[in-house]
Amino acid sequence: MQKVSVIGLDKIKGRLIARMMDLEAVQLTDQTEKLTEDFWAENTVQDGAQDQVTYFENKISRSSQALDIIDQYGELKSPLFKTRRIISKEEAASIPSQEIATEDLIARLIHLNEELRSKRDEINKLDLDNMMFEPWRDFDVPLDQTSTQTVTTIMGVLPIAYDPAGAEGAVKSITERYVMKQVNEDKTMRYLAFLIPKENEEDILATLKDQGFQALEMRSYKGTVTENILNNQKRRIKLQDEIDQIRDEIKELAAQKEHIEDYQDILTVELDKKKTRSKLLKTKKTFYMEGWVPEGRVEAVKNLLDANECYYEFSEPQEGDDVPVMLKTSKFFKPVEAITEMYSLPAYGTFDPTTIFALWYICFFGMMFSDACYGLLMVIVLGVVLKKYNLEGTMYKMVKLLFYCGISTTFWGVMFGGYFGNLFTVIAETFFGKTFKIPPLWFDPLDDPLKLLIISIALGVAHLFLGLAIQGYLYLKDGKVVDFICDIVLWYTTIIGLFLWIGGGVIGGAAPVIGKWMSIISIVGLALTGGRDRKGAGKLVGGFSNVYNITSWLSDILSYARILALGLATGAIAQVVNTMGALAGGGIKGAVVFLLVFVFGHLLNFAINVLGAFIHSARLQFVEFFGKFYEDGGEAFEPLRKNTKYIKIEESK
Amino acid sequence: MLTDGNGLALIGAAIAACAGCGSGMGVGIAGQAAAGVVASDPKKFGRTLILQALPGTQGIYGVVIAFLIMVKTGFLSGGMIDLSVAEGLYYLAAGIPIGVVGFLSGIGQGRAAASALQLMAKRQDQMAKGIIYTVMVETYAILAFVVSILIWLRV
Repeated sequence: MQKVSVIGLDKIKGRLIARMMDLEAVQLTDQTEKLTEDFWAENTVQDGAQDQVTYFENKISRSSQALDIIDQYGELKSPLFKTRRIISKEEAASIPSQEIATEDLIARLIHLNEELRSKRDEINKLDLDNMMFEPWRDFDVPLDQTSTQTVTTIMGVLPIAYDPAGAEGAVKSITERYVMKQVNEDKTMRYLAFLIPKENEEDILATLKDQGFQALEMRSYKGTVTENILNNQKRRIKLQDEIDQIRDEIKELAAQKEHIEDYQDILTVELDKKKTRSKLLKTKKTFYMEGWVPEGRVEAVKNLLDANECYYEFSEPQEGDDVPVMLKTSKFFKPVEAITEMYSLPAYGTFDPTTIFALWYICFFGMMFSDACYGLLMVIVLGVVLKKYNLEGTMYKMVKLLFYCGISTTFWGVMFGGYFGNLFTVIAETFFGKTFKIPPLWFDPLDDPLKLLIISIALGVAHLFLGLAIQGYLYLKDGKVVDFICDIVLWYTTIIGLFLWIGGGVIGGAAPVIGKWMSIISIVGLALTGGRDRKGAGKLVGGFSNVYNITSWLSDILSYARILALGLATGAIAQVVNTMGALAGGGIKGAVVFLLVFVFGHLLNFAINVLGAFIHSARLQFVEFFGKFYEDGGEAFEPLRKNTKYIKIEESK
Repeated sequence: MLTDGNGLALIGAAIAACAGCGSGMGVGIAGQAAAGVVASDPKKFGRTLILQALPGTQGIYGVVIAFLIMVKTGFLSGGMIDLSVAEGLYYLAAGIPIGVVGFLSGIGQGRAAASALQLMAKRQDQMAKGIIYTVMVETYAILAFVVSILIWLRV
């Protein structure tokens, strides 16, 4: 990365930012911190275009609303993978000319949605009213005529637990002139109406309340209860019709979804241009900006700045700068970056191991999943996906990586003789009464798990040694020869020595004896040098803890046994599925059962084990391999670019 | 029963399969946390599913050992070979490591997964680290599984 500082004329600022976006090579950094220094504060102010930012943000939020409405009611099929549509520069240039039509479309959609909501609210209210009216069907006096000058009607409910005689008594205690009628009764309530003198209304309501009675105010409705219910039902049907019409219209408008998407993307690009301005400083007629440019793009940026008559300066990053990180991986291993990104990018200037662990990852994945048919399935499905969809970014990397892993899975499946487990053996036996077996090219882990365990551990040691070698390389590069010998070479000799001591008998000769002395001398070396940076008693503690690290090596190495475990799990579960399928025996009925069990069982086995293989091979990189040398904490390089969601504008060639 | 080698071997297979209890509880614990995360952001469903599935492997290892024992003793093919008491005890011993460690580590892994889900709910970009924490627990189930395999192998 190179740091670039630019001074230019204010009037070319807009054009320069637009061209930088096309170039995708500059990450501008916020310069407002400079304003705490006197020189900058006296001469410059922060640039920015807050009112325009707000303007575009509002428009974008309205268009998102419209898109949400289409998603909700448009009944469009959503594709399996969301990809950006590729459009030509000419098409992109014509989008702003449709602004008015698109804004109308957006306004229409938002309006329709509001209509929809208010009609739904009304329907809810009608439903509630009808629920309230329903028990009063037998009350046939028009509701607006329940009062005269001297008489009025109190309607209400009394919970079933209360005695209606109590309520009646309460009324009686105030006036003798009343009529009480029970209109209805259900599981929880009695529905009562009292005809009473108007002058006593308040007193009676108060005493009735004490008796558990709740009054319902229905005098504001016109007509009888039955009429009200009927009217509400009619109104409801009409509203429902209108809602259907609105939904039809939204469905029709949904066909123009792409216009809104295009429009929103163009708006987003404009918004980003304006937002970027707040990172700049300006004087009356000039602007100042700073940013990061990847090494390989410096020339292109220089040309751009020259063309715009800017004054600029490139410099190396200083200590304390937050330099962004861009992984430099060859095209073939690019997909593996997904794994590195999953962990955390390497800190700026530290070692990027992506290319180195790529093949290990793919190999471990294959050994853990190890079924030729599963692998082939991955290769075919993902191959079609890659061909058919224009995937980008992390999604592309993941799919491509899994495609590679599929190839590896097929390879190891053939090696270990896994084809949907032992599917063909079981089919031959159950349906044709023959013995048939596809022999493994190498060996069957279920027959000889110990062999696979040893291979797993051996691969693990090689993998760990490679990680250690990287740290060694880094020491030598920095000229730290002492560290190289104490922290790297001594560990190699310790581990190799221990292996020879314990397992050297197989090689024969003097191997165990050599191993014995090699490891003893190395361990003494570890104890002596472990505390070399400390003083006094610290030397003792450091040395001891350094020797104790042998246990962490032991656990790291044993950790690779998971290759065996996951490999066996795939094969064994597949066999369980096949055995279960065959339980129903041969014939047509047996075949149907077998097919059902096969599809369901292998789908489940595939899902569980593909997840296991993916995560556990990643873990072997992250914990065991990275543990030997990796420094994380890098921030990804995010250049100024067109951050579009729906369209990708093709550069004219 | 304890003088019947075949019975002992099957008890071994049964104990191995009990690792599934741990997975069941672990996946359950993770599932509760996952539902909480999805309640606030339904788009995270796919990601929560990955974390929820992690404690499920102990059950699988248990079944694998049980299956291996049943295959080697001929139980699955119907004609179970006559085992001596000593042989039966070996098979029983083979079932214990994964049965016990799987049971307990499944629960532990479920707890770790639940916390990882909380982590993901707050910082989605840090999900990979949550997965690593969770997978750490599994190492011990894997070691037990390997021990079970080694015993099974030498019977």
